[in-house]
Amino acid sequence: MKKILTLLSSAAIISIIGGCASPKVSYVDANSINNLTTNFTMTDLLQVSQSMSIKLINSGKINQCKTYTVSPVINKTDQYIDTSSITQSIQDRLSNSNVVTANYVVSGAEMQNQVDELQRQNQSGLYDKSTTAKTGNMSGAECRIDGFVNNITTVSPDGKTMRVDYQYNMKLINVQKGMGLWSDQKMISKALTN
Amino acid sequence: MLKNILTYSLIITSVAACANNPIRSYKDDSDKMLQSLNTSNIESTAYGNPKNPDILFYMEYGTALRMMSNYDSSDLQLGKAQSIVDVWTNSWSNTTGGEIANTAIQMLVNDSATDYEPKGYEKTMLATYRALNHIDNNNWSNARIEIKKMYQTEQAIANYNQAMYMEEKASTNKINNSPKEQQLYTQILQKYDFSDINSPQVLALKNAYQSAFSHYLAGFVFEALNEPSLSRPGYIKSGQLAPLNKLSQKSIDNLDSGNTVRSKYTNVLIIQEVGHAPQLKSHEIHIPFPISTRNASCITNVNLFFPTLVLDKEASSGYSYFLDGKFQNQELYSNYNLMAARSLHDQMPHLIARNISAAIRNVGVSAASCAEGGGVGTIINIANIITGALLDHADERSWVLLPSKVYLNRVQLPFGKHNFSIVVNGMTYTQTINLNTSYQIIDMRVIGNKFFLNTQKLK
Repeated sequence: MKKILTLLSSAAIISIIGGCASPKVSYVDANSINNLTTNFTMTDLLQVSQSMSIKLINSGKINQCKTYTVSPVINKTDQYIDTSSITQSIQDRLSNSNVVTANYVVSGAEMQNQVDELQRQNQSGLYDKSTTAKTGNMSGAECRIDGFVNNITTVSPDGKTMRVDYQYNMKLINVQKGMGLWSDQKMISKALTN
Repeated sequence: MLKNILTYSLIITSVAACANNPIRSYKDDSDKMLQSLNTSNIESTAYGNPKNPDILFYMEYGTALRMMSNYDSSDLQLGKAQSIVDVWTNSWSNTTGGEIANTAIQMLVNDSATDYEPKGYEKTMLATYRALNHIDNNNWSNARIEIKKMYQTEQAIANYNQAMYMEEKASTNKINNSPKEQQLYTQILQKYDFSDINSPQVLALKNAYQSAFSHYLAGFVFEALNEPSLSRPGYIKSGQLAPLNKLSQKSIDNLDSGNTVRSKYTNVLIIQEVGHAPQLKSHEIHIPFPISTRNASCITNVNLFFPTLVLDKEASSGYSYFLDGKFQNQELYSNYNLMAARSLHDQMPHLIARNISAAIRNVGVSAASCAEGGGVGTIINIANIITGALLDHADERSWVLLPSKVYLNRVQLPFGKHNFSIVVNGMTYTQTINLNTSYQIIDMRVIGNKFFLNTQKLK
């Protein structure tokens, strides 16, 4: 009986001490590798956008276009990947590169903001007309960059190892001619063993 | 000895007064709640103790407020529950090394003595209900936040399950290495009826936390927000979890072909929630256990306690409904009867380990009474029986006001007024639905003899 009482008291103390522990938050390197999950992580996202942008820049094909746009990257996986971050990251790297002479123009996904802004400046009657951006002067994209990410999951026969292969494809297309100028892919594979 | 017994009784009395009352029967509480829902109006139903609310109170009460279309108050209650779950989720979101629930008190008293930790499917449904509340308030951005929370919680649950699996492996090894524990384990396997939690339908579920309904809703929310790259996985996952349904694939096809929005038409997602989720009832198993001491040999009766599922018998299938007089087909997306069974199935190794530990503890006390014999032995034994009867019972807590089943249907209708009608238990309910945006939801609930229709607030 005494033993039970002692155990009950110990349990109470443990739970009180346990309740006092507070979580700690610290900054970590955004480029450090997150290898805790087989899901597509921010590390993969950065790796894919960096690798594919460099490949495209090094090919020199982007400079065959005066202007280009980046279509939203299509997510064909079964994971919730916010591919708008990949799209934006690729656009950032191309736009900020000293080697790329082609100019970025807004994509279809960004068009609504562009139209809204032009309408606001030209139709609201609030602006000095000499300072407003005029409609009908936007540059069309000579080339378009399309991309998609796909995945395949396989489980070993004993069920102990799960492997997820991600494939990211990207291509540069001349819009008027519908002609492919460049295409490449990046593979990322992850395995989880129990 | 008598002093010790009195002290022990005092502890029991004090513990019984706590929020996590170990002798509370949630089956009894939820019976009263369900009965009251049927016989009186929903506002006057008791959802627990509002003076001493716990996470279960917030979840039950928040659900009832949602049924009453009181979306803001519902979100306030569900938000309180979510903030408790968030602490847990954050500790497991990126690791399999988070803290396992404090099992010391569970082992010594029972599972009901600790704070209630919602089951996997309850955690994901909490975020889903909050998303529905935001959609009904026409706040799709906040719905998006809850949807993200829903699938991030899934990752945390997966990490937690992984850690629990490792714990269970250690428990199994311990049982295998102890003849006493092995003997009890064998008898539990013989005496507990595992048929409900080991049925082919239960084992066919991928897990106990991913809901096809929640993922379809995720697809719908992202589609409404024009984010096809996030909408597609929602539909894909819902299709993986409910592979016989055609709606998920049709939604993927529409998304891929860009055939989603039509001018002055509304994509309406119609959700039918039926019945209530299974209750849990503590079930007692008696195992005779021989004890040998230096002085005597006795046989003691070991009492073990396991939860059993009590299903909502009134809710067997969905109810037919009509839009503008036209019969609507719906598909069963989530079956929370099966998910609750799967949850219990997955929890069973832990419950067996806890029961065996409690039994070994009780056997120790009985061995003392066996060795003492006579009057003192009898007093110890009676004390053990009384405290055992008071403290030992399975945790009956679960979110009962969740539905037992969720059916989905999706239609595209022109903007304007439409007639909705449904027959429930011989009563016909009709209502005019107003459609004026590209995406809207209609959520209906049948529980007991009550029918509730939740529609989105008009812009």
